[in-house]
Amino acid sequence: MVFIHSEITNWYFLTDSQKRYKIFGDLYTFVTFIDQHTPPETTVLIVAENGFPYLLARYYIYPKKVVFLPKNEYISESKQLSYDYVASYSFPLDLSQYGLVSSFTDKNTSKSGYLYKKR
Amino acid sequence: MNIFLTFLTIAFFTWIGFFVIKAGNLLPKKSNLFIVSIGYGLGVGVVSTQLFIYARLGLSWNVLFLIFPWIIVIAFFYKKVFHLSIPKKIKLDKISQILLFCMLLVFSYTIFEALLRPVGVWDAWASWLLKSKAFFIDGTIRPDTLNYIGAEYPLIISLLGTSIYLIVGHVNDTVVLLTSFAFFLFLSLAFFSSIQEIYGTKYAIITTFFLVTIQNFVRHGGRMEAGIADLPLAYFIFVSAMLLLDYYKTTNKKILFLLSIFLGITALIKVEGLFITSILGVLILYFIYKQKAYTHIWVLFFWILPILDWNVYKKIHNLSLVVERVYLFSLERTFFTFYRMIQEIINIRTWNMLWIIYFATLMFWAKNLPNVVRILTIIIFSQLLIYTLIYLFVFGYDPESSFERLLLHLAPLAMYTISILFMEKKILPKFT
Repeated sequence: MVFIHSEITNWYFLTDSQKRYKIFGDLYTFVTFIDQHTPPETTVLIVAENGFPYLLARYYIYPKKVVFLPKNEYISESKQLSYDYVASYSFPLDLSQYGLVSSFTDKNTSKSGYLYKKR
Repeated sequence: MNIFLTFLTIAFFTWIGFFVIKAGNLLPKKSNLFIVSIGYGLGVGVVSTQLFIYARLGLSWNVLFLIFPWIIVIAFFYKKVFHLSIPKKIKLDKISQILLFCMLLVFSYTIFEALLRPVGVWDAWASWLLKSKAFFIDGTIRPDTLNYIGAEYPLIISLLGTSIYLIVGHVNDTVVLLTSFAFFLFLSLAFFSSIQEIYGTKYAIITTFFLVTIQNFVRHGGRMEAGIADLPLAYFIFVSAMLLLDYYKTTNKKILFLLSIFLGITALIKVEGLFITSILGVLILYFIYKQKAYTHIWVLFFWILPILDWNVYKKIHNLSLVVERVYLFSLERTFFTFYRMIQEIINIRTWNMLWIIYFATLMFWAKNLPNVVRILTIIIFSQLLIYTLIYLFVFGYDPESSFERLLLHLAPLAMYTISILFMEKKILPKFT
């Protein structure tokens, strides 16, 4: 009964977005941030340390498409990027052909996300 | 409203399955409760296949267009099905009433857990529900979408999610978890009615209570801490095994027909389903050979056809196939594999005492097992052997991350085996 009570107090009164934030943390903020700042039918390249932001974005922003590039590979490939948008999670990128569209910093975790558009 | 519509959809699937079995008189001697419980699985398989065929033919997934054929079929066979007798009123003693009440509490809790939050398990949204969402948004199944997401899993479970979205009218990854609850409920009912048929209501309530309160089932039924397709696979394996036993008893071609359909669906839930249906297929072929019932072989076509079709579809559209790397034999890996597997088998927090009792009873009566138990043991041990070989030789699989889920596929059969052994060996008093 105590467990059920804590489940209710922890979850029941939250909004849908708050519940998703509780599950995925600032990554959820990151993917909604990408979704809000990109037009429909676009492909976004996500640069991150691991594939989790990419997988989450793939689910949440469909039908927009996402492509993943690990952080350690982006420096060597940054000159040939052909995507309209590039998003990075938790670190800024130095991309000569792209301009920063928007960025955010999560209030709770201080993690940042950046979105760039091809010039 | 969404919750109501989802329950209505689940009821509709069950009704379709029930109707098909009744109209075709496919299980003449089985109780209505058993037919209802397997009706859900058949309905899920049939409607998912309908969506797949519509997509292949370029037909619209308009809800009315999907439901209309079923209304015609139901109207046509209505009279044939509606000769249902009213079930006898069953008097239950105090213990049965308490156990029944406890089971209702467990089911209520799983509904509560399912509706409390959106799906959080990465495997569920990253693959299964992403496909459900993509098919719903695209309004069809597009090979390029499957290429983008990955086509390593077959589509039945994802199409089940899509059908819920089609009825609800939008993507809702919270109410879709109610389909897992439905698999939990109907698995329990199938188990209950299978035991009830042989040993009576009281014993069926007791054994079902032990099944329903296994923690891993409760979690998969509501909170879904692991794969979305594992509980459905457990359900389909159990139903297929029950139909196999029935076919062994009766040699009825209609039962084999229904079994073949269930094997086809089971194989298309996920890859592990393909392994176990192969085992069941071999057992069927052996029985056909022993009985010299060679005219029954063509019925297995309904098992093979969907598997062939799915693989041809993948081949035609160049969908990515999973290519695994293979390990060479390693003593260290073998030790690690068996250590982890045994650790899970004795994990009381997940399984209560299920697997410990299962192996103990089997060892105790190994020399004199009833025929039914022998068949179930062949099924369970063959599947365990396949899992073990995969852990030992296929790269990327280890028992720590998946053996708990694989045991879930076989747990209802293990519980059924224990229930039969305890009664057949007269460990318990005779229940009436």
